[in-house]
Amino acid sequence: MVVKIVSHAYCARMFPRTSYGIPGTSEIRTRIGLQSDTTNKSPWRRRSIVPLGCMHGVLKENSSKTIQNVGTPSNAIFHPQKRAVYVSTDSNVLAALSLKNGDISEIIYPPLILILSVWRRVFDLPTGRLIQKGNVLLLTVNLGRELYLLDNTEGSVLWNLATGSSPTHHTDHTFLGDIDGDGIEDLASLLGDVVQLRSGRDGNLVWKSQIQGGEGGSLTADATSLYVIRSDRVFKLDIKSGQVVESSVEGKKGKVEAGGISQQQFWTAEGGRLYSIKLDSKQWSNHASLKGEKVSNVEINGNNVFVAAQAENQIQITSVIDGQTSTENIVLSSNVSTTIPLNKMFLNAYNTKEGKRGYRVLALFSDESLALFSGVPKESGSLEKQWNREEGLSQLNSHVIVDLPDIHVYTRYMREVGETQDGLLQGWLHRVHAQMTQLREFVSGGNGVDSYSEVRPYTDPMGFRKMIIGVSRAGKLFGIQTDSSTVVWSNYLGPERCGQPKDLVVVRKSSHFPPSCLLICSNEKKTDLIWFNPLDGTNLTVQHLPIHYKRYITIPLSVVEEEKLGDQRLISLIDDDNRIHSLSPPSVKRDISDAVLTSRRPITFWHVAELNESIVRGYTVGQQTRDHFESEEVWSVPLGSHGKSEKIVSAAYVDVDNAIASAARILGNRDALPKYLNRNLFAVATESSTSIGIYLIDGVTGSIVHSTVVPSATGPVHMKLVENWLVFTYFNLRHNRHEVSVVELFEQKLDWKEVDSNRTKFSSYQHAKPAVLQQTYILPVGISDITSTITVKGITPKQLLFATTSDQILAYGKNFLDPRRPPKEKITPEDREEGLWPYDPALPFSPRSVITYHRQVKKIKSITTHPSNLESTSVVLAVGLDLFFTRTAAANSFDVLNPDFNFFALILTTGGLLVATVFSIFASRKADLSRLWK
Amino acid sequence: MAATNSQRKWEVRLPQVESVETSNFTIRHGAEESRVATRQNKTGNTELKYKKAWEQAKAPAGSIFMTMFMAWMSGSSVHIFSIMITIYSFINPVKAILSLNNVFSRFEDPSYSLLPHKLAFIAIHLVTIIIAVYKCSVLGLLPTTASDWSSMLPIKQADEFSAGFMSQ
Repeated sequence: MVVKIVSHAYCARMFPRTSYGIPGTSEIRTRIGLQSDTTNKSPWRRRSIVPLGCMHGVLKENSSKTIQNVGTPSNAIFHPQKRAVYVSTDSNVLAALSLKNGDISEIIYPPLILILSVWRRVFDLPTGRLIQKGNVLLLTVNLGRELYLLDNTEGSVLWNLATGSSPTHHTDHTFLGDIDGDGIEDLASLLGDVVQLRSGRDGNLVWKSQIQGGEGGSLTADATSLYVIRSDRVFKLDIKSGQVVESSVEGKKGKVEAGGISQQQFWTAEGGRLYSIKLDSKQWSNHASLKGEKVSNVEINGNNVFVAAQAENQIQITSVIDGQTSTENIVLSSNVSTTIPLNKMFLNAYNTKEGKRGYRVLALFSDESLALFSGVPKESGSLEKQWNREEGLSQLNSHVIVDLPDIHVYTRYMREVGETQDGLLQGWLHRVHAQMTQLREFVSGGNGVDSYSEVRPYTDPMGFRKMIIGVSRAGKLFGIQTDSSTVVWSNYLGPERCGQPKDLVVVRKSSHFPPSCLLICSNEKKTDLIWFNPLDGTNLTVQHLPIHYKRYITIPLSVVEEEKLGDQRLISLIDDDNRIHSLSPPSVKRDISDAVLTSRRPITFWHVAELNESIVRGYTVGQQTRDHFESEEVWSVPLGSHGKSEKIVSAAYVDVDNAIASAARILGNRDALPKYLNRNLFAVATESSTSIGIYLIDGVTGSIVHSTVVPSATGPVHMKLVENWLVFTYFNLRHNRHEVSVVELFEQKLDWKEVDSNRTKFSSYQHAKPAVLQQTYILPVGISDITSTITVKGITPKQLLFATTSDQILAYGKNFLDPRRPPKEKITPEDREEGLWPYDPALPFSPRSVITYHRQVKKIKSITTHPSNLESTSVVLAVGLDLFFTRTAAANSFDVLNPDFNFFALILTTGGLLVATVFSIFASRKADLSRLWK
Repeated sequence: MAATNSQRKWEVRLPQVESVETSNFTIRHGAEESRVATRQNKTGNTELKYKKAWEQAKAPAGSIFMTMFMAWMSGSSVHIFSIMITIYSFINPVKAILSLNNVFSRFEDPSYSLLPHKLAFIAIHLVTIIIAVYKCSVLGLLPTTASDWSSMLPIKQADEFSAGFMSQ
């Protein structure tokens, strides 16, 4: 149950350099040694490779799951010998995907060790074109301003350099033979109007020459010459010296972007046509018109040229074989691709051993799923689908963690709904089966069940298994079960049903079966509301509202009110004109939700912090008109002082669902320090040219409860507001370091009269200002998001989770960030008893605080936490390019027996005592009897 | 008993002998003498019992120091020994006080009252209890500080409700 880590982190390097100078060189090292355990569509039985000398570093139990993504490819090259396809994606990733299964991490299938040359490299800047030759890959980065030469087996960078071209330049590159005589193929580059030849060994410039006239162009070469092919002219350059011979050509309009050379001809597809030009002629020839808008790359296979274009439901491959042009229609045999339009495709043609022609088509669909179809086309023209990757997961616009229902709730519901129609016996068997699975899970500690083939839409006894619901930027909904880290359902909504996906909200929790989720999408004209069951994606209902969506607010309800709404939360949309639209779920009448909102009118407020402005406005719910409520502005707070312009950069709100266990903090002298618990509090961070400002504002009255200015600081500011404390991070310009500051609010005095139940209310209008404590610490790394753990009852001390810019998650107990930590020389025994450490400005970096262990979770954008059924443990989800799910126990798993616990000894002792008891009962009876006989 | 009686084969019944007149005198005399002797004896016994009762009443005083010593030895942190010693130093005096009449029954005499003895006995045990209470307070087991009652503090519910967001 408990993850036992024995100095694991000494093995994995925690913070490899990922700057683009030497991008993540240590990643290669970790790639050889330690593997992420699970990726998309992968078999469950994956084990980490144990690196030499690092045996003890591997986790005893794998409670964390990763889904690694690459993003949507903009360029792809096939390398059949390496059984890989290299993709350069819009997520700044260069990856080698296995042709066999699409994986980017090697898999060890015990006992067979099979290492494929698959890898992934993440860059800081956008990756572009990709060219290969032999064992090397050339990648352009940052709009051609940088070049990277990589080894294609491991993805290690051989050299990189800045080309010095401007981003407006058209660039192209090609490999030549060995010109400078160092045994390595050299590289020619076209940068605008400059042609360069660079050494393949180190990228040093060999020669450079200028060309003039025309634009764009493609670079190609034969044994003696280098050609720059533009639509209206061809430049022939001497390969040794770079001398230019220019000639004008005719027959083609438009730019020449990319192409390939075959049989002394240059081939390119442009504007729906396949063109070629002989390198020594002056005339373009038009070979074929391509049907369809989406045209693939021009694939050159020896003397043959292929290009694919999508025409309606099928793909037409135009091929020029030995000068003969022919077309062939193929169908991508996929059950979904027929309905989801194709976005892009990459073609590769090959000859099988039997001499037949096979194709590989890497297809990117509109739902951002990436699939490889390959093989020899069947008679019907269909190509078999090899694998599918959900790359939409790399671009989640919004996500939520949903609890799975309790097994009893689930089976009862299944009976009621009659989904198990086979009668009582079948229903009973279903239940027994489910309970047996649960028992197995329980015995094995919630983790050890091998068969994950079945979808189990109910929770485990510990509540570690969750459902992640995410919506991608393309408008595809995903349901991911965390224990197997597989997408159990997905639904592509398409632009008609969902404009721009904005927010995901859990409307009904799983304790009230069936749960319900709401996805809000919007575009200029309308707002789309999509209600669905998060467990399986069913009951999908779409509503459209003719409003321009701003954001939503959730209004807390009493139990009675919630029952009226079918145990659902009351969601209200705010539109651009600040009108409030109370939403009614499909099963609830509109009047009811309106009535509930009307009854809450006098005490309901909402506020908005305008990004990049310096004002916060508060509104109250006003009069109801025909289909909405008006908002009335009740307060506005201009931020900033002395006329300095401050811009709002960030805001943090109290999570109302977060349970609070205690209203006071207990001190070392056994005194109680009452917390300032204001659920209407929110924090706003502003940035000016030289400083950042933090404001804690009451959302009802608009009064600034506390404000602080950090001089010589800059963003990005990340904040987290929990209970009575705020944590925020920023960059200190003066000392050139990342810092984190904690602000904690307490009541001025403890009033025991409050225990009298009449005074258990908190009114923003009457409350005294809090006492404020604040301390600042130095962070060891840069931060991309902060969050705090959430537990069921809120008793367990909180833990702060920092997503670092070096792709890790750091966990610090709240006691590290405690504004009551006294100076070292002033610490008293009472402080020690309270558990306060002496103040130390530098937060210690302990390898044990890295909860991502040896893994790198690339480009984390946000971390979310959610309680499990155990008070000690909460689950953590990090979302970025990768998805990472783990659990963390802030104060150790105090409510779970240690895995080292000697169950055998316990059972033996108990059993022994039982036997001894039974035996002694008999013995004493016998003794009594015999005594009586004496 | 009836069953066993009926099974008995034989039974001896001694004749009831009336007191012999002749022997009356001597006996009466002896009784007279012994009464005097007993009276003297009795006064001695009473004093002795009275003294003994005081001794009994003061006896627990010796254990006070023992209790104090044990309490001191067990330290101020909460662990099994300090808890056990504290509990014993509570239970022992309480037990003793509850068995008060039993303890002093031997010394009952109509001629004097045992009330002062008993009060003294109780008082001494109360001292032990006070030591135990003090020990409890040292251990922090007495709910005398604010922190012990902080769980009674209510988590205040907000009268008003607000929700907000940052516009994009």
